Amino acid sequence: MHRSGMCKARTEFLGCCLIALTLGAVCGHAPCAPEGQGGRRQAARAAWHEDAVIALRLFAGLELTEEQKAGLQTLLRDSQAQTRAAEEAGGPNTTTEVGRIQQETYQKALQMLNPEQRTELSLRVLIAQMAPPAGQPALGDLQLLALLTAKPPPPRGEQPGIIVPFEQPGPVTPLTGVDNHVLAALKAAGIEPTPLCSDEVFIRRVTLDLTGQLPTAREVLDFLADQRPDKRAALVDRLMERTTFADYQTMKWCDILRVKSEFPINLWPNGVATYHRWVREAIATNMPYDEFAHELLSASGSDFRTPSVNFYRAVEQRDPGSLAEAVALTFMGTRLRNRPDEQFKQMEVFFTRVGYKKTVEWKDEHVYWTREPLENPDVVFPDATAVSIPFDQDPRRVFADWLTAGDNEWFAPVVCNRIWYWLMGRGIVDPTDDFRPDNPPSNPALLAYLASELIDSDYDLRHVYRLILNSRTYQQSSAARTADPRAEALFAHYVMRPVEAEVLQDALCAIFGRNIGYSSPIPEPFTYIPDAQTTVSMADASISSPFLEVFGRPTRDSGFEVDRSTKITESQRMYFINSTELNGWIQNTWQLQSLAPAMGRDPAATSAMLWLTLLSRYPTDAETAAAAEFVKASPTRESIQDLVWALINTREFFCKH
Amino acid sequence: MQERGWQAELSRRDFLRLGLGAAALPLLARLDGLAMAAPAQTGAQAAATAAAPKITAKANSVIQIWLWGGPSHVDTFDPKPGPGRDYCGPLDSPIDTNVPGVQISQLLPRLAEQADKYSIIRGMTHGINGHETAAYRVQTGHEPGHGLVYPGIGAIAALFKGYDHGYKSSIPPYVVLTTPQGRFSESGFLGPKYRPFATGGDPNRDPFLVEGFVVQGISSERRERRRQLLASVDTLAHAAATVPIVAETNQADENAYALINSEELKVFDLTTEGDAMREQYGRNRFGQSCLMARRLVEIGVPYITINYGGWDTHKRHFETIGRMQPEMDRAMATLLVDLENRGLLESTIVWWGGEFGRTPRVQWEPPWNGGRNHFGPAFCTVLAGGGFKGGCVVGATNATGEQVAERPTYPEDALGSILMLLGIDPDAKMPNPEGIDVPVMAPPKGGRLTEIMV
Repeated sequence: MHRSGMCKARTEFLGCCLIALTLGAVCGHAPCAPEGQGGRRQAARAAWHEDAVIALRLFAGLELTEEQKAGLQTLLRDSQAQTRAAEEAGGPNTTTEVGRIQQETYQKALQMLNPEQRTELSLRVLIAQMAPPAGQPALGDLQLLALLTAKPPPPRGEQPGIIVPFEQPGPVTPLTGVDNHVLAALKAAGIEPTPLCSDEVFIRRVTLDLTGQLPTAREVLDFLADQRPDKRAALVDRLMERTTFADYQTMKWCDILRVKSEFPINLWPNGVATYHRWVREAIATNMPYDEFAHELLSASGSDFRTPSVNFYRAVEQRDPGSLAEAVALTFMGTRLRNRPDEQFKQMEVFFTRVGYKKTVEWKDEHVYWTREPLENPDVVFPDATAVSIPFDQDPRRVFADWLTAGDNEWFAPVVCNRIWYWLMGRGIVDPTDDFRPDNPPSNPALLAYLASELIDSDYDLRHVYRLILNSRTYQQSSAARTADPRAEALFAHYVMRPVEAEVLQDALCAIFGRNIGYSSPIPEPFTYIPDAQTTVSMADASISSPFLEVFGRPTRDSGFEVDRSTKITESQRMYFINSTELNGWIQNTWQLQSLAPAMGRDPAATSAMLWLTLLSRYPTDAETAAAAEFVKASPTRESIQDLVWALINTREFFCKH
Repeated sequence: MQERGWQAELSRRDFLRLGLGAAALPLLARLDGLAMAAPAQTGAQAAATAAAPKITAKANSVIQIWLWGGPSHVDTFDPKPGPGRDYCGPLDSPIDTNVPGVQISQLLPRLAEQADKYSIIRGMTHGINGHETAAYRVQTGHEPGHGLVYPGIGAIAALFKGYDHGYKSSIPPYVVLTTPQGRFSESGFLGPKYRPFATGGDPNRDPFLVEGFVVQGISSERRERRRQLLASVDTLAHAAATVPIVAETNQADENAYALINSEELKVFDLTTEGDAMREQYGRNRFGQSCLMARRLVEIGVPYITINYGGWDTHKRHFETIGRMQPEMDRAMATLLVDLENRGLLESTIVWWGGEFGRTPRVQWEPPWNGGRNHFGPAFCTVLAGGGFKGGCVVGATNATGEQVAERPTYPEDALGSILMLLGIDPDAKMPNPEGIDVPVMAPPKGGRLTEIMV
């Protein structure tokens, strides 16, 4: 356990220090101590103080008496003062001296404990070996363990009709406008909605849906401990402020805005970078959606300096008909090829004066209004309103003004439906990009309600997110009670579905402390991708991996929502069951190696740690018993590996549920 | 279970692609409350059946040796020593082959001895100098555009000779050794079902760890133990057993375990070949990939791509090919001989080529210092076996290798010819997102290669 040398990151130091405190003396290793001078030493001292607090927490899990707590606090304070004095004295033996103080502190602390507490502590020490230094796997979080031991799993009252641990009696939140529309339709159809999902399911679901990441075990514990009645709404608000919210929603938008550098879209890497950054910034700052669409539809300029012009570059073909198709698909949820109506035919007129020109700058391209007069400026919009396009106006702008005007039936409902689909797993109009008279919404009043809310909020998309996420409808269990296909279409339950390829890859990397190390050997200029960059935040769909291909990442060739495959295939299952790569990750995660004895001594705490990390919930008693029995039969590191393998192979792991 | 094998139903995405034009279809599916995939499957199979081959197949399998990056035509099968060092660099002495009058590069002595087994198409052209677009053009036979992304020929083979048409093996019908091309979607609008299976791993290492199929350190007993443990902790699957995704995953698991436990996986165990045979192919990744491809042909896999990168030689061109071509020469020559010795050459097409050639004039100036750039106007490809005659040269370039002088051959001509010999009608229709059928291959432009068909 001893790590010699400089402790670079504070978190790493934290881990070292704690382990030094708990293990160093026990195992006879010299503990790790800060080296160096000045600022580094200051930082180390501050860290030491915080570590003491955490160490106390570790001890606190032992149910210390008040007297013991006071004694330990005094002890740690003295130890801290001694350490500071030793460091200020300086000299060649500082490191050794600090180590001696820590060992002595630990020995004294042990003497304050009774024999049962000492036994208990030795278990914790074993599990403490799983402390992850910075950038190490989520499996094995020492701070978590300290919290865990302080907080028993929440009581789970059995109730008729409630599936533990995935559901809980409700309602937690008052019914909302969304719920009223959904419940009315369900009542009319004679379908019962499923019960409310449990807090454990909710935090996993909403964290995945908003940020594309798993909640950490610690976040789950904090959320479960939170007693506020509005904690679910508060969590939604917190998650939307995260950078990962912007990353993940940007990925969704970039699927339909076709962000890729190469064939057949050919934005090239620089265009991809600017376009992606523009979209991300718009989402991070919550740009009103009408502005967002208007800007993408009417921008002129260089693809490097006016990134929104890339919308018109991100098409396979640049003739007016193809541009109109892209506009209709992206913003109007409509496939022009399915709309032979005359007013849709005329839509391409608005895109007949889009010019493209190269500049001397390599791969720079300008999109602009050619200003050539239209042969016939008298046309109709898709809603059949007549317009005469003024000679001094960019026809794209005329179209964008029409589209984003408040009451346009082709605008607000379409984006509300997309967000609904992203969050609920099925569109009110489904598929989301096939609005037409013979594919009506499954609940028209619901869609109209969301659209009017979007317009009234000045196109605040986060308002729509909140309306959906804070509804009982979103917070329903995914365990459908009926095979009636109308149940899904009318939203009687949350739709269970696989997490996206990128999200799954990031989750596995976080759990096992791995990086994929994406690279882009062609085309020049090479795109540099830092090792630690998440898959979700990667801009360019042309940069891929066999994993992403197998798990259905969209090509972004067409911008169709269904370009992302939600199908479970044999090859996906073979990867999870039998992959050399994934098995290697499980086998070589050293944090798992000491867990077998820990499982033998304290199956509840050890299972809880695994379940919270991998499935974001406490195990049930039956699961704990199954895990303990399995490991007991063969208390080896292989058994723990097998248990981790089993947990990541559950449907619960790779599905949003 | 083998009946399902890799033929997962058409995905929802495929269905929607199919249904785009036929707007009534999804609506009907919804009204009937049917699983979305069911009518689509029927539709696709009907389309594929309608396009059933009307030509007699001569070949069962294709081995595509894909030189990603673009191999130099003038340094391989179309040498041009005439214009001197500015063009041929140090490679000024092409060698005779065992076919009178045909010379190839001095770096390919073993292939020179096997020239009677293959034909060289020296008039290949498409004029595209970008990797991705050229790779698409050469492997789909279509010009880019049309609002469609066409499938590559391997996916077409998987469509017409795969599970929809009686293929039963556990080994997928379209295999890539070892990594996918990545830069364009091999399966295009046909979707994930027809995507190649990429083996991963390195056949030159023992064991050859084929991702998903062969894993090191997990015994079959342990795999079974894990499976039982999974059943006892998959609590949500039990609680939500009627949810479609759960049932779908359970079925996929069944199929996956059957594949993993299949006896056919022994095909990936190259140690049974013996050292002498392995040595003949060359103990390197490409050599052992060729040997692996032969083994896959033996069990009836219809399409195998060996994705052989490293040919984008802008700099240090002659040093690089001086290292790589002997490796290629040994493995490919051995492959041809081995196939013939086993009686497989007459039913196996070996297709060698890249997305384009390289500039015949050497770029001696900095920063290239002796490199060759991309060159789409003229290049060559090699076809052997499976109904192609050996010992022929089709078409020719001019004295410098910069222009096609005789019998231009476009990608659709070569691919259409390969499909004909596979018994797939290149003019047949495929299901596609527009809902109307489109031809498998663009109409021939320079003419299909009937002159070299047996």
